[in-house]
Amino acid sequence: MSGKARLFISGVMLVALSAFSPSSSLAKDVQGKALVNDYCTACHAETDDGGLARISDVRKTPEGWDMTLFRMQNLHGLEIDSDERFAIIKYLSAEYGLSPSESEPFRYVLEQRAHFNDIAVNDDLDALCGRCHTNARYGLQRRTEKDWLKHMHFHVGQFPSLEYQARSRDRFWWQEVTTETYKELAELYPFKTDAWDTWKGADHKSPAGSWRVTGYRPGIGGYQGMMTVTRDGDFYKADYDLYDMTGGALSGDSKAVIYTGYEWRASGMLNGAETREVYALSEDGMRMTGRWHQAAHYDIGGEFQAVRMAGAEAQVLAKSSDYIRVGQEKEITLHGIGLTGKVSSDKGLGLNVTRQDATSVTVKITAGKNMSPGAYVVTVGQAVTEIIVYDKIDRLQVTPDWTIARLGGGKTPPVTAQFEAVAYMTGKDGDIKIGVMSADWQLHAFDEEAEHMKDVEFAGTINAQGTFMPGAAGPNPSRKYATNNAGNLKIVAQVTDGDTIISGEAQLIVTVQRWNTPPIR
Amino acid sequence: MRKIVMFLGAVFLLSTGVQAENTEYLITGTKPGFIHILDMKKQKVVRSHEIPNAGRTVFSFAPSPDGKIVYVLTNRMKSIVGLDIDTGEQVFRADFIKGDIRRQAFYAFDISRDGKELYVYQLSTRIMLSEYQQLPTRIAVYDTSSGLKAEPIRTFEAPRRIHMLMKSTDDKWLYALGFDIYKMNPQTGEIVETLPLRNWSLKNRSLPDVLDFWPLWDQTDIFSTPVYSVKTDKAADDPGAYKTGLMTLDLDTGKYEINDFEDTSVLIFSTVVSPTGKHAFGTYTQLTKIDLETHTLAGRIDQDHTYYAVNISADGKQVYVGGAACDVATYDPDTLTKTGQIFLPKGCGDQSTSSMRMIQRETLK
Ligand code: HEC
Ligand code: HEC
Repeated sequence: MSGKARLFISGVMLVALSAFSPSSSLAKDVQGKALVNDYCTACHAETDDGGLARISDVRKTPEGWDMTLFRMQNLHGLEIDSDERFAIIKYLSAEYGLSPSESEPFRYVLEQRAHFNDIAVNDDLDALCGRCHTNARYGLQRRTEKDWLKHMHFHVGQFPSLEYQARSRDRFWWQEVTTETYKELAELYPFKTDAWDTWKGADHKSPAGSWRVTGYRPGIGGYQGMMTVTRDGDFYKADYDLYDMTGGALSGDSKAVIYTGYEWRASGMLNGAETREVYALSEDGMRMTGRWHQAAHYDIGGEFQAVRMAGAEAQVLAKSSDYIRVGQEKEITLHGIGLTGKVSSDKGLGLNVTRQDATSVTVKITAGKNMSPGAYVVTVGQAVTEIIVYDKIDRLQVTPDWTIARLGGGKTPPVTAQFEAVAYMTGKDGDIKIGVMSADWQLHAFDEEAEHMKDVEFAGTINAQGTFMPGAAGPNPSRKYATNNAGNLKIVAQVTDGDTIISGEAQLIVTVQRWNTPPIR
Repeated sequence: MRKIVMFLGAVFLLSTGVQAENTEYLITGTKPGFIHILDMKKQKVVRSHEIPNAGRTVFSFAPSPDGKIVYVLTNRMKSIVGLDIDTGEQVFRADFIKGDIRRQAFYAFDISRDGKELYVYQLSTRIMLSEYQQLPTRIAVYDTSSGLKAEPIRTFEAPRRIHMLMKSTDDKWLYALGFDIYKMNPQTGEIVETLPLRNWSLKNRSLPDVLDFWPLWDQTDIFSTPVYSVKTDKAADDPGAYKTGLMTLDLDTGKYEINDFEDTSVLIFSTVVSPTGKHAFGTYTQLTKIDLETHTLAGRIDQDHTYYAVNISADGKQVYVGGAACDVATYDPDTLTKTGQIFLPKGCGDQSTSSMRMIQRETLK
């Protein structure tokens, strides 16, 4: 890093509600192309085939291009303003982007999830590359073989300590990456693919229209409603009319750009909090899926799914609850599209429709005392779903079973960890998932060392929703060795089921802040 | 060699009839670019010098044999600066960058025992218009009398991933510690012997893990470093599978040994051999004492906080821990009790991974 360590400010997200809102014409690719020719050619020579050195040998996501441009500014002295940066990203992601199928396996990192399982093709790549950043970072790039090799040269030139670090010094890192790995990468992630050629030439669908939305906020629960997308020059505007499962309103709007014909990136407001949206529009333009999060807290957000109303088949997309206990009566609302048909179910489940329209059906469900536990099919006309009937919880699983949280302080907010208690019952053919239960949450020391260091006292607290809030960063004079508030905790969830208490466990590592948060971690 | 130089110095001073008093000093460095000279017996910082164009960083040091100058790797590993210890004047400077080639030294450098040459291990990158190109790693030799625009007087290629360079006390050899220890001809760079580390022949052992960039051998001319390895014939959950050993390389005799001394229970960053020859001391979160005769753990205490570097007085009666934060603490080598602590001057942005060296020189007024 050079001396002037700058803060990464995203050029991908339109910060629609702040001063920066690029004029619409910047989204036109001719603008970006002209800027690339103006600015980049000072260092990136024109090649014989009419491209630009390096630039025409790589393909990446909008966030990937954003990070590269940031480096061009920060390390190499490129000077562009934020409008221009946006226009260049827009153009380069259209010209040298990833197809929907190419970005699909690694969306977890684009979606800024706090918890994910990072995918490495093999352990070797995980050690060579995945120890510093996600495997997704390179999985979301395509390069010519020559360029993968050049990028290895960049790494050691830029990070001279690389070869000395743990998981590098046990191997001949440099020799390995410059004789074998770059070829492996070129095979796994080649510059030229049919998927990209096809997508680049395809008819990209507009997101404008009316959408049925369902989603889920971990620790809080489901939500559902409508989204209306309208064109706004070269951008889009989304208006949300959403409700949580208790009927509480979630309203707001956002302003979006579509990159590469399918990458929806938006900035908005939801119930007064600033949000960011990272969605992918399906190739046929019928679905949009992804995650939104609070602008200031990437760890806090929701799963998002939207189905285009026009032309959609009848379907159930979400339920206010997935399960009912034997002997209980419970009101469950099914949310979806085209739910005007007759409501019926497998034998045994008592149904009493209390409210029905095309997007929601509320049913009073009765599970008789003598019902056998299992999954019961419920249909609304052509739409099909299942309700789980259980008699007792056999197992409680805490998800995720292992994750990390980060201490907060200064300019860096804490990164929380969200746990859920998922109940299972034992069926004839293995465990049957019942669903997420509300639980009592407790923190314990994970091992002797954590006990000795009193991690439970210092590392943070967990609330009734299973949200772990880490402590403050920095050395803590009241701790042994004046160490920071890091910790190794056992998370215990307890659910009362009839007369018994069932519990489940997970591990939480509370660790230090990240000193930077690039858009692709 | 050092002892002889000191002896000759004393004879010379006697013959001119001047009474010169010698004092032992500890040298440490702090961000954003200071070196500090500490009188440990008086428990006091006697000099603090700002390094010109330090780029807010201080890495390893090599003091001249007469204790008059300290050479400091600084400026984000891109320069070595020689500072007069008394006045702070910059008397030597080698800036590595030349044209489109950027060179960085990853800690590894040493001064010859005659004080005339600096040996610097350099990573080299050609910065082209739109790409970086790695060039072979090399050792560059500088003449310490070259002044402020020093250029290498000779260079030779060297293996990758070197983190420590050490001159033998007779100046005949240059040891380079990396995957193995390469014993080189300091004139030509020819590797005349490879002391095995990665290529060790221990049966049922993983590769050893070593990473040390603290030159701390001032009192004994014995370089020592912790070596971590795993017994592959034991179960992964068996604590006895994880071994910490001590490697010693005598820069005087060339004697090279590795001996396990405990099942790995704590992390140790750096170690120093006591002039008594009986013990070595290691630091990180704990201060560790190792018995060099029985190769066993001889003692361990929790320090107030983590330190990275450990050194020792010439009489072996005080152990010093520094590196990391902004203080240098003194411990009694027998009881391992803390007997002193010096806080470095205001503006200290922590010692980070800077070296901590001991010199004997004419007392600073
Ligand atoms: C002042 C010189 C300079 C300018 C101007 C410049 N670059 Fe670069 N670029 C470099 C250098 C040097 C490298 C090689 C080192 C590196 O990867 O950072 C590079 C590498 C790259 C790479 C390959 C590395 C990778 O990780 O993908 C891409 C792509 C790139 N630049 C894009 C651009 C674009 C687009 C522009 C114009 C908006 C631009 N650069 C402007 C100097 C420059
Ligand atoms: C020492 C840690 C380290 C290791 C090991 C490492 N990287 Fe990186 N890598 C980085 C850092 C830091 C960056 C961010 C560079 C920047 O843009 O400033 C980066 C950036 C990247 C990028 C994005 C560059 C761009 O501008 O688009 C790719 C792709 C990448 N690395 C691939 C790899 C691969 C493949 C490997 C393994 C062969 C690897 N990395 C190993 C630290 C590492």
